[in-house]
Amino acid sequence: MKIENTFTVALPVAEAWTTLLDIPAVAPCMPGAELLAVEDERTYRGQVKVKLGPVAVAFQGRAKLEDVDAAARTVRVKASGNETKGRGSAQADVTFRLQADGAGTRVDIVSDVALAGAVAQYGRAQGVIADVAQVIIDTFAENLRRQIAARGAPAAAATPPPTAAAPSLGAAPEPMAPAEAPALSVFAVLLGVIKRWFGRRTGATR
Amino acid sequence: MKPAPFDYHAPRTLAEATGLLGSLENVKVLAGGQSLVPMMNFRYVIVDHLVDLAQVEGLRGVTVADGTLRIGAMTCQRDLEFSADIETHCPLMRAALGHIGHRQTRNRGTIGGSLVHADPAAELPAVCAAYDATIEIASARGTRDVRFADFAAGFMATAVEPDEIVTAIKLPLWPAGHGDGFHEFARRRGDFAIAGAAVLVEVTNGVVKRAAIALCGIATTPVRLSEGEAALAGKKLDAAAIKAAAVTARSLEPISDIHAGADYRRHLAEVLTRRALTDAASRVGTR
Amino acid sequence: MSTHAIKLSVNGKAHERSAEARITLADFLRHQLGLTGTHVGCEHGVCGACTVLIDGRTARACLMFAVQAQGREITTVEGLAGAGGKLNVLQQAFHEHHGLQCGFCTPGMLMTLTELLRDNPDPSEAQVRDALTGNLCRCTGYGGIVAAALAAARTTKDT
Repeated sequence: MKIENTFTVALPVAEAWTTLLDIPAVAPCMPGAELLAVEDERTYRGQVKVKLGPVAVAFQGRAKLEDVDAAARTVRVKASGNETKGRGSAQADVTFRLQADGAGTRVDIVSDVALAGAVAQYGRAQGVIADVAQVIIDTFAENLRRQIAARGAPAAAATPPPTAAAPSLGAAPEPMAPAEAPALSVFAVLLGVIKRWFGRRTGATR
Repeated sequence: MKPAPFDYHAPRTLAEATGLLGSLENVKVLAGGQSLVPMMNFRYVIVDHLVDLAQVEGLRGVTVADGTLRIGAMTCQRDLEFSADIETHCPLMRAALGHIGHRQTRNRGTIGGSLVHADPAAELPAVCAAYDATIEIASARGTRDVRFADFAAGFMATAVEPDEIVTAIKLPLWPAGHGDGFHEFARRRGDFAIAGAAVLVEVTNGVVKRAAIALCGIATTPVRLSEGEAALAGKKLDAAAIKAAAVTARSLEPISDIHAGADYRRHLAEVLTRRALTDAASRVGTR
Repeated sequence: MSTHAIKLSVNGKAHERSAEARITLADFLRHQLGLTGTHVGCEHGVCGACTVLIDGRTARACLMFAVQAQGREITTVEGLAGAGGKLNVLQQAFHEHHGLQCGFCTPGMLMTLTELLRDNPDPSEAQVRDALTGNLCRCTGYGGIVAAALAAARTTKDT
């Protein structure tokens, strides 16, 4: 499944880049995600929980930052995990590209998600799995946008201004209130699915 | 496959049942089990606790009062199939029940279970959509009524919170003489519907006063063909009007899966709507 | 996880055993009670090989946990034959009309038809076929099964 997202933030591209690479701070943006360990400066171990109707699955695995191009401001994250109860596996190949957009930054995310095993066969309507993946990544993108935008909040906030140090992976996050990633409530996720279905539903012309 | 281990609870009262749901983690309600247990056998569903409602008093039975048919959530489909009240007051449901699974599953499957499981192809949710049914939901915090349109939330998801139990389904009855029709297409008798149409019509002074067309198997929740319903209002319920209403199904964007593509489901929606409306027209004034 | 003392009656005989909550009725009958006539085909409720009667109504024993059968009266295929193993009318009809080949689906077929013929003693062929939709057979093509059911109905009617 290929999923594309784009958003802009009113933050200079250098700072948006720093924020993006702060994985421990960015991980909570993924609904249902939990960072379990930092293995090295590019490898992180984590867990993502998803609930679809009566079926609750949890994927545990690794996310590795590859092809980090600070000059072009692109980074590729390859993640793979196994379902903790043996019901399959998931693979995600996500590329982030940051570009200056006036005084702000435009973030483009292209995700390639693949499922295997029992989880891939779940649900006779295959389109639903793709829709859920879409909503998860949409939510992630929205949370990330808020996270990055919050970094550029005016000095009135209690947080100290970002340091001018060169971005370093795995650096301790600056003391700021982490963006609240809404827990992945089934209802919320599926509300997104419904909204999309609604646009194509009865009475509405194609 | 065999299910993963769990603790089994068999409460005797609703309060006990809702208390259990509120206090336990990773818990599911067991009604008829005809949809849940297969998923547990596949280990798609893995729970630590199962709360069996079979012995909870007060959740079964059909009553008719003040124009409303009230069905206890744990009433099994077989009992509804042979209920005189359902036959008299809700012939649409009677017609739909014959298509649900097989005799063996209807002997244990319940109406509440079917609605909460919310399979996109299920017949009873479509019937509830046609009726604009009200779902009664209970928890330790009290009872609330939810309109079916708000109850169905998406693919196998409903508005029921983790600590809540559906206790009853309430259908506002259509007047005597209304027409009903139910048509479904499945590969074999008893298979999951690829698409189905549940239809109600009320005809006064020779023209359609009100119509309800609900489709299952088209989207992740039952779909009301509101364009088709509007097309019938005020018209004589003849073949031309029925065709005009059915044709509005062409603007649907159905789901697509290994059993049938969107195009085929869209075609089925139109054909089944036309057949169900034709049946409904022939039944107007006969009951 | 939770284990339960289960008391039930099978073919008129009382039994009491202890079993984990997750043991299905089908596995309980086969392993705890040694009644292997009830077969396990698909374990997800589509093939009907596990069909039994619970308080007189057919049900898929693979979709029920044994603990749910507490206090119930179960009838399995072992309860059909008479004294000394004399085949009942339906079983005899299966024998005479080639209603079985490998025999795997047969117990389920017999239980489903037992319920049908009890509730509808003179069914049409269409009604027999409709009643059998929940039982799958890979050998016979159903012809012999339907013939046996109709023959059994006729025999019962004539006697």
